[in-house]
Amino acid sequence: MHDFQLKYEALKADDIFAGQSDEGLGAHVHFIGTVRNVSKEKNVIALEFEAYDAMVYSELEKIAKEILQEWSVEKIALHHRLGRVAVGEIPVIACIASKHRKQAFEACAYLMDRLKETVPIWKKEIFEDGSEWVTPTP
Amino acid sequence: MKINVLAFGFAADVIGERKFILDLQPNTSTGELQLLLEEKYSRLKDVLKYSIAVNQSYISTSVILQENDEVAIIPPVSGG
Repeated sequence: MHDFQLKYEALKADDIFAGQSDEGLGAHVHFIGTVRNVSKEKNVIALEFEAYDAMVYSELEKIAKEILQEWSVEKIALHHRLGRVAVGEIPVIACIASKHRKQAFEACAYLMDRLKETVPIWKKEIFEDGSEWVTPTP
Repeated sequence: MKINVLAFGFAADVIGERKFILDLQPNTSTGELQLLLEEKYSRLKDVLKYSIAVNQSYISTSVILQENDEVAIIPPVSGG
């Protein structure tokens, strides 16, 4: 039911829930993240992602359980790129499928919030003149 | 006893390795391991509030390690 993937190639919304039937579901809310060209007033060339793969999947499963307790949604997906992702490319796609849209919108926002809190993925910003790990501000 | 240590992100840069084996006294706790690592790699303290995971689960308080445990040093995550 859930569709969690870490990938080194381009992410596409069409790959989410590929091959799964969902004719009973009226809403698919996607969040598609793209790499911005400026951070901290510096020009960004790319982001570089690394992950603790096994734990990414177990943490996403925990978040999925939280979502299913809170919202009436049917399917949960998150695809995340690893390695170098250039400006304008897509590092993350989250998707929630449900019968109706309201639940899916809320659950999708929650999934992205929790991704940034507990899922062991890290990004480094690659600037024209160096690179820096991104440390989230509290 | 031997344990497997994994380091990620900034922590891996500070330690200079992403994966290594440590030989510890039996009954060493994660708290003691953190002190050991911070003594050896003082810049690890610059990683604000890093977390520890044992066998792929975050721990909230110090636990006693077992032979072959996988301990991960997890700087603040920044996915998405």
